[in-house]
Amino acid sequence: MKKRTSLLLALPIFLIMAGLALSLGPRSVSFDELWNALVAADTNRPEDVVVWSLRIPRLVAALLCGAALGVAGSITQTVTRNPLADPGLLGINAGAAFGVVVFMAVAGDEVTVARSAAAMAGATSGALVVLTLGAFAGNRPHPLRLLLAGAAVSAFFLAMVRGFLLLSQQALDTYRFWVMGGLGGISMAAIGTLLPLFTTGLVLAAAAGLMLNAYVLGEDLAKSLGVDIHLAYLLGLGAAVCLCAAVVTLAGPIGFVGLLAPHLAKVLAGADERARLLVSALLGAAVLLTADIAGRLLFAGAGMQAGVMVALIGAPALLLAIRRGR
Amino acid sequence: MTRTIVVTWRCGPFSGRIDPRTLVFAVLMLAILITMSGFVLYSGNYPLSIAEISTILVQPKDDTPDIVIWYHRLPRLLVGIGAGAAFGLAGALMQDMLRNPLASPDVTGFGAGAACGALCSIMLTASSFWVLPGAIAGGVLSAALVLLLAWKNGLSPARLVLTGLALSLFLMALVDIMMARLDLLTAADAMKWLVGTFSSPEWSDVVLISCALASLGPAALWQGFALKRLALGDDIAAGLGFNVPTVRLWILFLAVGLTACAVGVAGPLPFVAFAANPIARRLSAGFGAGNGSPLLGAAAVGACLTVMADLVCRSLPIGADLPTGVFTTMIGAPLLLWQLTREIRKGVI
Repeated sequence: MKKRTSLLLALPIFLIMAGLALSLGPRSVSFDELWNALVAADTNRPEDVVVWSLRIPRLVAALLCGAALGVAGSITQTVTRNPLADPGLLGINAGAAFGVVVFMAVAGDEVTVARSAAAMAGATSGALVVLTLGAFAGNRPHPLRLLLAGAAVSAFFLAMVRGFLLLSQQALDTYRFWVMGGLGGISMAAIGTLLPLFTTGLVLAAAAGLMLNAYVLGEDLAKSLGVDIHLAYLLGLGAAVCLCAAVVTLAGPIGFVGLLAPHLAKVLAGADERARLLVSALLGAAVLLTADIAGRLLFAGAGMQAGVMVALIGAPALLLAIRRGR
Repeated sequence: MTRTIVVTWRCGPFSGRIDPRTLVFAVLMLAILITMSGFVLYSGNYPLSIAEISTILVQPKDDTPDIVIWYHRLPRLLVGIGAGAAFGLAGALMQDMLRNPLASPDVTGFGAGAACGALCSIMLTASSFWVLPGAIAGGVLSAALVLLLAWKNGLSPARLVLTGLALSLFLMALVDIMMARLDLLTAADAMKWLVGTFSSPEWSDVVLISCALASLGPAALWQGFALKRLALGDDIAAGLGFNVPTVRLWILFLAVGLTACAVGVAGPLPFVAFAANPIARRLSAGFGAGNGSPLLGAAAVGACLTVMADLVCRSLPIGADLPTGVFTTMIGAPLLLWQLTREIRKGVI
């Protein structure tokens, strides 16, 4: 009962946030103008053009990327049995970023299928390292292991990215704005290009999600329930790789959402892994949207990119959690 | 088991043990270093024969070959050796103190702090003079912050590493913001520094890094005694009369100082601090030398790695002047992954 009321409460909050996201920005749109633009769009009015060609793609991108990151984080935490696992911390994002940077240096700053393929290749190589290390790590590894491995892999990819950027100043110019994880310049066409990848990732996540309740019981119990634990592991990591590659291609390497959303979801959804996955998606979208709005509210003018905002808020939160724990 | 041959050395109230195999190891490292130094002095765009180089080194004059050697190749070589040794020493101190082969200064946030400080000074003053003080201040500040946040009735290794990771993520976001605010040419220069390079060092850099090594190096080697006791575990070390938190604080201070100076002259060369200690241990174990000073070995390996990376990056025929950091990454990262799988298989970390 309590959960249902909280969900009912969430709806008006979400509507207010969406309204804010559509009206805030360098060209602010009042709520009256916004209502007019939404109900009766007219391409002659400048505010209608702003709403339909800039703000709505931005809102959709924030929701889609946030949900993808929340799902990817939740599923990675479950399949690696590691509460600190997050695609950003495990080197998957860094691998995808490396792929995108190589693509940028070669082909320029266009969101294309080829760019997402480059990101997929990078993310997969990052994830393969995690997979290999996970295979060595036994049943209940210390959370720090994978984290340090991820940090090392990320450091490797970062150094390679920086080395690569020195060869092409044009790529550096694109990179330094892309790396902040901004949602501002995303077009509806770019979202459309990546929609298949997002869908694949979400379908894989749903397939894995059905097995996760058995997965957490351990190999023997899962087998007796008819669930192949290795299949669930592969599906889960595959989903995380697809979703991260899509987000990195579209918006840049955004961290912390995948760490934060699942932990909040655990509080709300309890032990049911399927519910947690769903709530993680919703919360991930909410977190990224909040960061995007906060970036526009706190920094007048051009605003602050969502990815950087998440890091600036998320890192101190993580520091606090580390200090309070153990 | 082979028998260890140990020569005891006495001089008045002092005595020490010398393992001949450690000596062999030291001589080998020195030979490698000297050979590579010769190559560094020899290779380059301006052709010079070995005989010419040796004359120039002994009797400096004022013509072009002398300038090439004395103002380009020699400072570059010396900065490489000094920074590499400082990184190796700092990495070994951190890894042995935390009993964790992954806890090197680059993984735990000092590198990010130094990068952040350097970029801050570039943004605020728009001159290259303040990059070095900025980097040192940034590194020291971030180390102090990590320490402050991780300190809770002593210094737990796990909490220190985690805190370093989280803080470096924060600092990295700041670096990204600042990079986007610079104009493109400055950003390209700053990026070169971020990767780690010492293509045009001054003699003042050589002086700085040698002063750092001369003052902090002996103190670091002295802490080697404490590190051997710490390896037995906190409780036993405390039982042997060590004040474990104080010892950790001292070692951390030395490691931070060495890293900061090395970063100041050569940029945050990735993976040198991390890789030097494991390589030195493997090599000295290969010689059967168990009781030597691993810190000195790590310093030597760090110097060799850096000079080697510099040599590779200068002799590649691609035209562009690639920074040394790219090659230290290429050497260091595979080693890191190999080390990681080994440690995880053993269940050490």
